[in-house]
Amino acid sequence: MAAVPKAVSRGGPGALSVGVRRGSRETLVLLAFVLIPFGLEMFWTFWPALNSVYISLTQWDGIAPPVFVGLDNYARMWSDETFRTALRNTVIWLVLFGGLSVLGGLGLALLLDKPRKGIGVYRAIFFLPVVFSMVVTALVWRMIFQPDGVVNGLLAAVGLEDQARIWLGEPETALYALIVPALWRQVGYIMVLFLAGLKTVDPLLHEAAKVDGATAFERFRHVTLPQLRPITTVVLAVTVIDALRSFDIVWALTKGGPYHSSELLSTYQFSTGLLGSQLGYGSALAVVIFLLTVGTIVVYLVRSLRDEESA
Amino acid sequence: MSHPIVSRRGFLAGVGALGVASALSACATSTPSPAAGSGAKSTALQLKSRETSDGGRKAMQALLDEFVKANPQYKPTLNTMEPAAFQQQIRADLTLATPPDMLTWFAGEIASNFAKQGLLLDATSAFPADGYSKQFADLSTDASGKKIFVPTNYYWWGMFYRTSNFEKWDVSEPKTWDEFIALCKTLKGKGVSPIALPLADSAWLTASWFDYLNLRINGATFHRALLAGQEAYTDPRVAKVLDTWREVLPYLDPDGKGLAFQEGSAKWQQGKDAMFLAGTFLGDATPADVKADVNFFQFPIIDANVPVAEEAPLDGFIASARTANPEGAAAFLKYVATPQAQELYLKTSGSTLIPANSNAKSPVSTPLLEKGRAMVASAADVTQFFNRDSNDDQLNALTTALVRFIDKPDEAGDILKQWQSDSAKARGN
Repeated sequence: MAAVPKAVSRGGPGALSVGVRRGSRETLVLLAFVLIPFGLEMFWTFWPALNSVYISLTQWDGIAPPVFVGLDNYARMWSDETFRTALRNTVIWLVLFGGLSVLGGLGLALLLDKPRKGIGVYRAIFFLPVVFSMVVTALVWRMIFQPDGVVNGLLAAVGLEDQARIWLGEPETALYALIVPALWRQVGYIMVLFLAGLKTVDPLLHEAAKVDGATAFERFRHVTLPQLRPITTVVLAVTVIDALRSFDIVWALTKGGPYHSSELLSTYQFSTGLLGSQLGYGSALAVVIFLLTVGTIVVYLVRSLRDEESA
Repeated sequence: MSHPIVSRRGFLAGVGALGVASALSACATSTPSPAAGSGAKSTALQLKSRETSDGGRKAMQALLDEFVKANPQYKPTLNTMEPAAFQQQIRADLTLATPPDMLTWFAGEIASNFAKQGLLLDATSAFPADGYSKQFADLSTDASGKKIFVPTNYYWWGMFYRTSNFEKWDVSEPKTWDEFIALCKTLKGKGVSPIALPLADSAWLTASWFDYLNLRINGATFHRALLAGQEAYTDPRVAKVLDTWREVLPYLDPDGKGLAFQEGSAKWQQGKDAMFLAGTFLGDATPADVKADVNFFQFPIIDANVPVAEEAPLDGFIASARTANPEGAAAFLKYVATPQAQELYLKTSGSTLIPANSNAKSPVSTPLLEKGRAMVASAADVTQFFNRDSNDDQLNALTTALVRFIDKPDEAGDILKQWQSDSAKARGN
C-alpha cells in the first residue's frame, strides 16, 4: 500500500498523464488482488456454507432427493434433550476452557516475562503441549484417566482411594475431565500471545508508577493491562473460536459419551450429520454453531472497537 | 483506499445476490443421474474394501488375482479403506458418477435401502442357483425380488471364554439363564470379574446384549418389528428385556466404562474377566498360542418356548448401479459366489469365518469353527446385528439408552421413553 500514494503524488507536469495511466493499471492489479481471493473465498467457503444453510431447511439422507421442510429442523432442537445438553456443555466449555486458559496464559506470561537465567526452558516447557497433535495428547490423557491410570494411582497413594473414579466414563466427571487436557494445551498458546503483548509495554511507565509509589498490583491493573488491550482483543477472539470449535479432544476421548453427557455442539453435529444420515438436522446444528461463533465475536469486536474509539 | 471501484453498498448487494442464487440452486444436494449407456467400454474395475487387517487385504488381492486369471480382459484394482471411514463414505461412493465398481458390504436393512434407491447393480445373473440356503438367498434379495448382494462368509456371536480358565476355576458352560446367573455368582465369589464389556470406544457392544436378550425373551419376529419401527421401545416387552439384563449388571466389570475395546479384550485374554459376549473377531485378535484355548458357549436360553435365534452377520459384496463396467462387476460377483473363491479367501485371510456357500469347505477346520457352524445351523432364525438390521442412527439411540441404563438402572422407564423418541426422530431423518 505504501507504494501507491507515493507513485500518485509524485508531481510535476507530464508526470500527471503517466500517473493516470499507471493509476489505471494499478487499479486492475488492486482489483485482481481483491477479486481473486474474494472469488476463491466465495467458492471454497461461502458457497458451501450457504449450501449447508439450504440443507438445514430440508430432510435429507444424502441419497434420495432432499425434502424441503422449512424451519422444522430448528424447531426440533427445542424438544431435543441432547441438543440442550450439548448447548449447555458448550457454554460451560466456553466459560471454563476460555476463562481459565486466558487467566492461566496471562498468569504464566507475567511470571515468565522478566529475563532470567533459563527462562527460555520454562517457556518451552509450557509451550510444548501446543506442538503435540491433539490425537497424541488424547492418547496420553486416556492413559492418565484410565481406571488404573495415573490420576487414580495418585489418589490411592495419598489415601484418597474412595475418590477414585472412572473419569471419562462417568457422566458427572467426563466433561470436566476433557477440559483439563484441552486447557493443558491452550494455556501455553495463550501464554505466547501475551508474552508478545508484554514486550510492547513501555518499561518507563512502570518506572514512573513505581516512583509515584504504586504497588505491584496497581501497576499491573493500571499500567500493564491497559497496554495489553490490543493483544487481549486478539486473545479473546482466538479463545472464543477455539472453544466453540473444540472437537478433536472430545471426539478422541469420549465421542461425546457416556450417553451424551460430554457432548458439545460440534461433536453432536458431527455424529448426526456426518456419521449418521440426518444431513438436514446436522446442517441445522452447524448453522447454530456458526451463528454462535460469529455472534459472540461480532459483539465482542464491536464493543472493543467502540471502547478504543472513545478512549 | 484511493481507488473506490466497488461501492460498499454495491458489494453487499452482490454478496446477497450470490447467496440467494446459491441457496436456491442448492447444487450440493443434487445427485447425478446414472450414466445411461456410456460410450467406450471400460476394462478397469475397482474393488473398494473395508478389510484392513493384513490377512483380509491379502485375501482380497488374492481374489482379484484369481479373477483376472479367468477373465484377463479386466484390470481390477483394490482400494482398501478403514472401516469407519468406509461406512461413512459409502453413500457418497454409490452416488458418484464414477463410483467404485464393487464394494464389500453386509446383508441387512442398509443394503435393502440402497437397493430401494436404485443404487445397486442387479446381481440376479451372478447369483448361483444352488449353494445358498433360503435364508441367505432371502437376505440377498431386495423388495422387488432382484438379487442385490452376494454373500461370501459369516461369523457368529457367543459368550467367549478361555477353556483353561474355566478348568482352573472349576466351572462349566451354562445352558439356561439361571445357570448363567449362578455361574456369574460363583465366579465373583472366586474373585474373578465375570463379564467384560468395554465401553470407552465401543459402546456399540451393548447392542449385542440387547439383541440377544430380546431374541431370547421376545423372539426374532418381535425383534425385527421393533427395529423396523413397527413396535415401540416403550412396550412392556422391551421393559422386560431391561429387567432381565439388570440381573447381570452387578457382574459386569465396573472398569469397563473406562476401557477401550483393545484394553477390554486384553483383560479378558489375561483371565481378569471371565466371559465376553462378542463375535469371532475377539478370538482372531489373540496371539497364536492362545487361539486353541479360545472357546464359547451359546447365549443362555431364557424362555424355552421362544424359537432360538442367533446373530450371524453375513458379509459379502455389492456392485454399484452406476458402474461403467456392469459386465465386469457382475462377472466378479459371480466369481466370489463360487466355493473355490470363498475357500481361497478364508485360507488367505486366516479369520474365523464360515463360508456362505454351503458347497464350500472351511479350509482350516477348528473345533471352535465347527461348534459355531453347528450352532448357527441349528438355529430356527438368524439375525444380522442391531445396526445391520436397522441403521447407524438407530444404533446411536440404542447406545445412549443402554449405557445410561448400565449406569442408572432405576431410570429404566425414563430411558425407554427417551429411546423411543430418539429412535422416532432418527427415523424421520
